[in-house]
This record gives sequence, structure tokens and C-alpha cells, in this order.
Amino acid sequence: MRPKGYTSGDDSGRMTVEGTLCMHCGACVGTCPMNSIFLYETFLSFDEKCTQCGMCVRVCAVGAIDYPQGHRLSRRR
Amino acid sequence: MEYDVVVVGAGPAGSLTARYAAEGGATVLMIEKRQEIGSPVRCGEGIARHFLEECNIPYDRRWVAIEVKGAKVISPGGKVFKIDERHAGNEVGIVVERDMFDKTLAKHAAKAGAEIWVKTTAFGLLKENGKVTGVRVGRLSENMDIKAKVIVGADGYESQVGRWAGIKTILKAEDVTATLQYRLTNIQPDEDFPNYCEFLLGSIAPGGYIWVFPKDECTANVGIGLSLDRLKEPNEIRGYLDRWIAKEPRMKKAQMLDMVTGAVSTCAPIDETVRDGVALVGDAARLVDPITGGGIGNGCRAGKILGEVLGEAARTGDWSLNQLMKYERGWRAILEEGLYRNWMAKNKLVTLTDEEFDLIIGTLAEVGVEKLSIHRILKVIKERHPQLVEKFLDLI
Ligand SMILES: Cc1cc2nc3c(=O)[nH]c(=O)nc-3n(C[C@H](O)[C@H](O)[C@H](O)COP(=O)(O)OP(=O)(O)OC[C@H]3O[C@@H](n4cnc5c(N)ncnc54)[C@H](O)[C@@H]3O)c2cc1C
Ligand code: SF4
Ligand code: SF4
Repeated sequence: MRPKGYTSGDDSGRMTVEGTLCMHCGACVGTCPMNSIFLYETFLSFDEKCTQCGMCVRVCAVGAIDYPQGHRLSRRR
Repeated sequence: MEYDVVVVGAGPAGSLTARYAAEGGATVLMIEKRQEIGSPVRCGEGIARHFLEECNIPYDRRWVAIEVKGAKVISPGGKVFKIDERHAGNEVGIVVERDMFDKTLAKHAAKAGAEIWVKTTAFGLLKENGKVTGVRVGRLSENMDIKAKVIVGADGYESQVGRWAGIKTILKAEDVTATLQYRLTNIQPDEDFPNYCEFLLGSIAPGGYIWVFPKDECTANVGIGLSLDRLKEPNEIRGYLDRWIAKEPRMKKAQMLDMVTGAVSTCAPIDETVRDGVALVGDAARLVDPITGGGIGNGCRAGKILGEVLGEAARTGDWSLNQLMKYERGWRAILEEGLYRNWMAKNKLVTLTDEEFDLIIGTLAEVGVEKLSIHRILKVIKERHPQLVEKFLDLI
């Protein structure tokens, strides 16, 4: 089964990424208006500046980014 | 550890910068966070020919997938505007093997004397009194601080170097194009495939286009770019591309060899690309053509200029902001006007309806234009359909 999206150790918990979907393309990183996302080689993390604006969710062509579980816009049930 | 120049990112822009800086006499380190330069490929791989000579990149069959006769621009209603060799002159394209192309450019940098480290990620800048004095990197399991006179941000669309230095590279949603591409094989050739790069416009790709760039007689990069401000739901991009492919007779039996995601900027030139101790180049400097989304040529051209300015700095010992400004002026002299004009034109193009695209492309197909410039195209259309050009009047 596909593992559920992770919130990494250094994460703020604002957004989650599904590691098995992510293509490490950096589209979300360059798009984030708060510069909240960092891609360390293949490891994506979100810091506390994130305002949950959703631009990264829309720019990601494989749908790897989601709001955290429990958020009203989360697709994760 | 200390170098004159540390280049962050080993794409085309980084490699050209490293090469010309090293050739000019600077000590250069280029770092790349991926484990392999040029791979995975994140690109449609279409380039124009003219910049290769300008940048002294010798043509080499090893990075050429196919040479095309020209481009086909296709309207929603199926009108086709063909720009062929005779008319396009040296603008006729090459579809490259980006992994080989990027490696070749890195080899040139190495040959010129640059050091290259892969699997090395920059994760912060060192600063003293507001001046950038180095970069913090992780190389395999080791973290280290590297001092340098200038840090070059050649770190692509996702660029952090500029943002760490305080340079404004944030984009508006309408200036971001989100992309998805498949390399499809077992495509049924038609009379023109694989001789043309195809661009399909209209509501099949709101605020962007679908491209088909051939790689060989049955394979092509088939991708879509959509303006981010038109996207409302997650995963919408894939729906647009898959729907188009499903309706394309040539691609009924096509199969996927790879899949690419990414984004490009389609913005106006940014206000600054240098600060004391730091310079941005390529996608990091937002040098992508706002109409086509192509950035390889511009990245190479700007990289050469930056490398030459850094080489000169090494010879004269002048690493001041004043010296770096020569780069800023240099790239603006050759690119700024075109980027700005194409950004203005893009803002109009995204407002066109399918019917307007049919009219415009139909007119161009009938009349033909010798040179593919916005100015020339608008003049042709103005003669036939003055009402259509109203939207564009300020561009003429
Ligand atoms: C789907 C798609 C199709 C495209 N099609 C075309 C096309 O047909 N023709 C065209 O001309 N352009 C095209 N482009 C744009 C083109 O890919 C870019 O303009 C080009 O790659 C820019 O080169 P660059 O050297 O500036 O950056 P890149 O090639 O992106 O290289 C940047 C490098 O920096 C590395 N890096 C990033 N951050 C760090 C860090 N912190 N530490 C270390 N290394 C780092 C990255 O891993 C990367 O290797 C396309 C883009 C996409 C997404
Ligand atoms: S845009 Fe999507 S695929 Fe690309 S790095 Fe971000 S999460 Fe991963
Ligand atoms: S939700 Fe907005 S602010 Fe948060 S990481 Fe995504 S793009 Fe950045």
C-alpha cells in the first residue's frame, strides 16, 4: 500500500508531501511566495512561514502536496 | 576552503558561467545537488541553433536527438501555421538529449579548470556586513562552509540563492507556468512527423500550450504548460494533457518512456540580478522567454557574460559590486527588451479566445511571415483583421 504523506522531522506541520509521489522537480519550491519550502536533494520540507495559501498544491502536477490531515481542504481522509 | 567563485547548480547556465570564469582565470567550484548532472531530464529539449556559436558550444551529434525543419503552430480549429527552414533561417531547431547536453557543458567547464562536486546541496549563504562571503553546503554526510568572492545562483526555477541574498525573485501566479510532460513512443507518424516541433494553442491549455517535440521517427516529448492562475484544483494539469492525448489519433497506441514535472517563469525581467558577492543566472534570474517558456539559450548566453565578468574580476582583483554590474548591464543589453516585449505579448495572448486563435493563425498560414517576430506578425494581422490587433496596439 502507498504510504501516507509524511511530515518530516524539520517540518512545521503546515503542509504535507507524499514522498512516493514527489518527483523532486522543485516547481513548488520556486512558486512558494513565502519561500517556505526547501528541497534537499530529494527531501522536501516546509517551514513555519507557510501561510497555507495553496499555490504549491496547484502547481504540483502529480498532486504530491496536501494540507495536513484535519485541515478543511485536505484531500486525505 | 576558499574559491574565487562557487557556482550553485550545474545546469546549462551554471556550466557556462563556470567555464568562462575558469577560462578567464578564476578558481571555480561548481556544485550540483543531484547525483547525476543533467538527469533526470526536466525539459522539452527544443533549442534554437543560433546561440550555440555565440557561446562557443561546438555542435556534437552525441547530444542531438533530431534536427527539425521548423515549427508548426496549430490553432484550436486545426489551422496550421508552418514556419519552415527557408523562413526561419538559423532559428530552426534542434531537439537535444538534455542529459548529454548538460554533461557536455559541464565537461567544458571541467576542461577550463572548474572543480565539480555532485550530490552537494547549498543550504545557506555566509554573510558579513550585508555582503555575501560564502556558501554553506552539505556534501554527502559532511556539512561545510565555503568562502568565495562571488556566489553564483544558477540553481534553476527553484532558486534559493537569490532569495537568501534578498533579491526579489518571487513570482505572481500569472507569471508561473506549471508543466507536465510525457516522453511517448510508438507514435504513428504523419506527413510532417518527426520533422517539426508542434505548438498547440487555445482552451486545450489555458494560458499556455501543448507541445510535441519529436525525438526520433516514433518518439516525442509531449507536454503541457498552464498558467498557474488558471488552475483551481490539484491534479488539473494531468487531466488537460491526458484528455488531449486521448483524442490524438497519432497517439492511440503510444506508450510512456518517462514523465516530467516542473515549472517555468513567464515574468517580466526582474529588477536586480546581482548584489555584493552574489549573482543570479539562467532560470534563477528568471531569464526564461515568457512566450515559449524556453530558457536554455538565454541561460547559456547570460552564463557566458557572467563568466567573462568573473574571469576579468580574477585578473584585475576587482570583485566589487561595480564589477558585477557589468554582468547585469551585459545580459540586459542582449535580452531585456525581448523578454519584456514577449511578457507584454504573453499577457495579451492569454486573453485570446479559440475563435481569435483560429483567425490569427489562419491569417498567418495564408500570408506567411519571413521572420518570426511579434512585430512582424502583428503587422500582417493588422492588415487583414484590424479589430483583432486592437488588444495588441501598444506593442506595435
Ligand atoms: C517541462 C519543461 C519543458 C521545458 N522545455 C524547454 C525547451 O524545450 N526548451 C528550452 O529552452 N527550455 C525549456 N524548459 C526550460 C529549461 O529547462 C530551463 O530554462 C533550463 O533548464 C534552465 O537552465 P538553468 O541552468 O538555469 O537551470 P537548471 O537546468 O534548472 O539547473 C539548475 C540546477 O541547479 C541544481 N540546484 C538547485 N538548487 C540547488 C542547491 N541548493 N544546491 C545545489 N544545486 C542546486 C538543480 O538540481 C539543477 O541541476 C523547460 C522546462 C520544463 C519544466
Ligand atoms: S512540485 Fe510536486 S513533484 Fe515537484 S518537488 Fe514539489 S511536491 Fe515534488
Ligand atoms: S501553502 Fe503557500 S506558503 Fe505554504 S508552502 Fe505552499 S506555497 Fe508556500
